[in-house]
Amino acid sequence: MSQREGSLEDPQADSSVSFLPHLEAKIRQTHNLARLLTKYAEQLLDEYVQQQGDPFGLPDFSPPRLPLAGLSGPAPSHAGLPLSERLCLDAAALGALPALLDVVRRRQAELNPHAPRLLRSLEDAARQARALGAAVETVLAALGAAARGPGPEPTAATALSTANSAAGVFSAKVLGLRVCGLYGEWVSRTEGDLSQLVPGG
Amino acid sequence: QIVEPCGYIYPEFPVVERGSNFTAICVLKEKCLQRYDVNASLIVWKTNHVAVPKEQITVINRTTSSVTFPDMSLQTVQLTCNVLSFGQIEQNVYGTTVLSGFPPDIPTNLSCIVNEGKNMLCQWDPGRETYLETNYTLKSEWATEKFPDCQTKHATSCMVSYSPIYFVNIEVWVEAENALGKVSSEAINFDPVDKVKPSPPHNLSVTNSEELSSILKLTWINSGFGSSSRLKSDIQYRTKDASTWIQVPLEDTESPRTSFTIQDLKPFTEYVFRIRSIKEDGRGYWSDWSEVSSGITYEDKPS
Repeated sequence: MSQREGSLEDPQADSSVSFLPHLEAKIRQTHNLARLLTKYAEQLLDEYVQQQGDPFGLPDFSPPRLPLAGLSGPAPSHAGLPLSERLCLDAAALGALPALLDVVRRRQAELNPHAPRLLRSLEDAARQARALGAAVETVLAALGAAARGPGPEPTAATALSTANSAAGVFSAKVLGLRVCGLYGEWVSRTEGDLSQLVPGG
Repeated sequence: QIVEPCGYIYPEFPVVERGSNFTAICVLKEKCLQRYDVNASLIVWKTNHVAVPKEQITVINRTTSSVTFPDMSLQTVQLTCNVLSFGQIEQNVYGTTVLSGFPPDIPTNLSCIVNEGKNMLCQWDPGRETYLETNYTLKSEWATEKFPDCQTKHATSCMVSYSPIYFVNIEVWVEAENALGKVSSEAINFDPVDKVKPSPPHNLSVTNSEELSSILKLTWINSGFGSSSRLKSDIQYRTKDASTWIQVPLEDTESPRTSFTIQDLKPFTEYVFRIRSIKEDGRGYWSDWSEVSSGITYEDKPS
């Protein structure tokens, strides 16, 4: 069993690789965080839908797919990419999400001023996305695969902000739903990617 | 027209370290000197209405007198500057309160606990009594985030306003400040998941076995924290009338579970059980004991 700082050549290919204790603990902690936030993201999405009123809660409602410049969901090809690249993409998306969630929170504060729990959840989600993004970057750095520079944060949030303020109420609610959905997708994706790093995971 | 004082004491609201040397001055206004035929040599200093001995008083010039206290030990002193107008009528010129105490000690033994379902509570040892209004501020931050300060005059603990997020290390420290100084404790860095005191297990139920009169099976529900972190259990039992609890070896209940069978019991006997839980790796705090639950072992079959 070789013990070194660890590297991101695909760990399954060389199962003898084990990480240093503190790195393993950081990977486990980050994976646990991603799993916890996946649960919270589902709750956020439910809470968001509940607060928007019809047609959002209706079973046959399928929201129009408004484009969100700067951030999309994990590509179908994501799972086939090398692990380090996946984690870099996860970190970049998690880096963009806080600003998007803040834009949604500010618009919801206008549209749903009497939904303090939703507003608080959106604020917590932004904070938690930042923490998870930072934790993934710490893992990447420890594994010698530093994340790329700042992700699409500024453009995505600016684009959303512009679209949001110009959009009518319905479109603004749909955009918010899209962001909450993306948050859940990327947090869940991050958990899946990290699970391959967790020894015995 | 509000009566304008004929003089002032400086410093105005002094806070002094207990046991230290303290000097104040009283400065009379020029216009009062003629009007009341007074000067600084006629100033009578009083503490708590008692005249200060002359040897502690120095006339600096015609308008200014100083008083020195070599060892301020009283917590609160009413200090007044009075003057004998026209040489005989004692009139109060000005008064102030002198507080004495200590600068805050560096808070020590900082620790935090997350009672499940509640926000994090941190406690510390503030050190010696300061005798002064002392503000304690619990500071906390992630690598990516600063959290709202937790401020308290209750010198030994503070419950933060935000709900805990597990699996993100948080750095916490305490700042203590009063009029005599400001200090900061050492920071502690931890994952809140390692500071949890779970809610006790609940719905503890006991069932006996017709086949085996020496066993009772326990089942229970672990607290919600068990979905974030694996829990281990601690089970104790006693016969109904006994007073001391029998301990199930902890190594027997080290892995997460929601049931356990107690063996080697006496037939047709009522037993009482209780259970508590903690994080599987032993970090954090034991929950309180569950509510007790009892059961009776089955009768022995006639041989």
